[in-house]
Amino acid sequence: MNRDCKLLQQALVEVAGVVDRLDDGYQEHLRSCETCRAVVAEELALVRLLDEAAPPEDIALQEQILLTLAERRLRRRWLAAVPVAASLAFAFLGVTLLGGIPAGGLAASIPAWSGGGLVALIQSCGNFLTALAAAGGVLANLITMPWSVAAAAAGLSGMAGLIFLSRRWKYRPVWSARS
Amino acid sequence: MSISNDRKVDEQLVTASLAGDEAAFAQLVRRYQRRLTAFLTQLVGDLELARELTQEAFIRAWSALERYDPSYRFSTWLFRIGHNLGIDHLRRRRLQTVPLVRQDRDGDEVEVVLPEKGKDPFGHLKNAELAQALRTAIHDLRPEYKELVLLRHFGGLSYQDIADMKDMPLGTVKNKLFRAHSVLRTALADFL
Repeated sequence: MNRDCKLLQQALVEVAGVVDRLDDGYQEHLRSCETCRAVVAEELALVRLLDEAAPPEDIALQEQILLTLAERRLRRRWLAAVPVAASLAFAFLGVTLLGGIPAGGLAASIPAWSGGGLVALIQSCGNFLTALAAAGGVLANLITMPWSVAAAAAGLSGMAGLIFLSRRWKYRPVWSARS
Repeated sequence: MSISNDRKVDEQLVTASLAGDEAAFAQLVRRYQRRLTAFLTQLVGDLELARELTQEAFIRAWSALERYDPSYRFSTWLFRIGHNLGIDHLRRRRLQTVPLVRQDRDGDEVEVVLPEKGKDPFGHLKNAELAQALRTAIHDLRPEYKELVLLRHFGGLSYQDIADMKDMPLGTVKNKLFRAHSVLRTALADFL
């Protein structure tokens, strides 16, 4: 094989055997070289063969992938709510340990024009909070200062752990462009 | 569709996906599933496994889409994820099994591929003899040739994409693919 033949055959592989896509110089060589013309036919047949060897489109797999992605999206949304829920739980724990929310104050701050229904609703919530506050007060009496600190530390660690786990799930390292 | 147009469409779909458009990522799945499965099927030699790896590659791409570097083509990035998954799997399998070996034309020992029914990468081909010849010809290629042939013909990547993905000069990709084709033409001469 001389240099021209090698260059042509290299270009031929690049254009998948389609002679029309070759430069004029290569086409000129092709007209005068029987060996390269034979390679053209073989190359076209090889490319066709490799194309046929690829499995056909798999609609079932595509649907499966999309279904899995939909589930992951839902899970991601739930996991995104975990830090918020943990923060709320921690805030509630803190308030409880400090002796609870003064329930009466909340109902008193509702303006008169808001109507009796809303006031009743707020009052019932207030009653619920009063009950919780009472339970919190009992808890606060039972739990001494060192235990309160330990509980706060445990709550914070738990929240940090949950945030770490949720972020780890979202950002699993898979690929580095320069690796 | 031209390569630059193709790239533009991918970029638009990625941007839309990042903005929360679920249909945009679904379109990316439809655009690349066949090519990625074809590539992985040849890489791992098992259609069912390749389907699983394809799914995993898309899920990982979706999970990491925020970190996708747009200076690369989406297809290059996706195939890199798929390639890494395939290679990881092959490494694990190599640790777990003792391969059967046979001697190739040069007298070197090569692993015998025994495809299971239903998992055969060439199971869809009607001509069993041709399927066997293709399986052997591709399997017997030198690893660096085989990988480029798979990326080019089964993954449908351009020479430039392959060069980017493999961190290889474009000229090297051209030269290796030229040599790989010469080997394949010789091995499959009876069918060409």
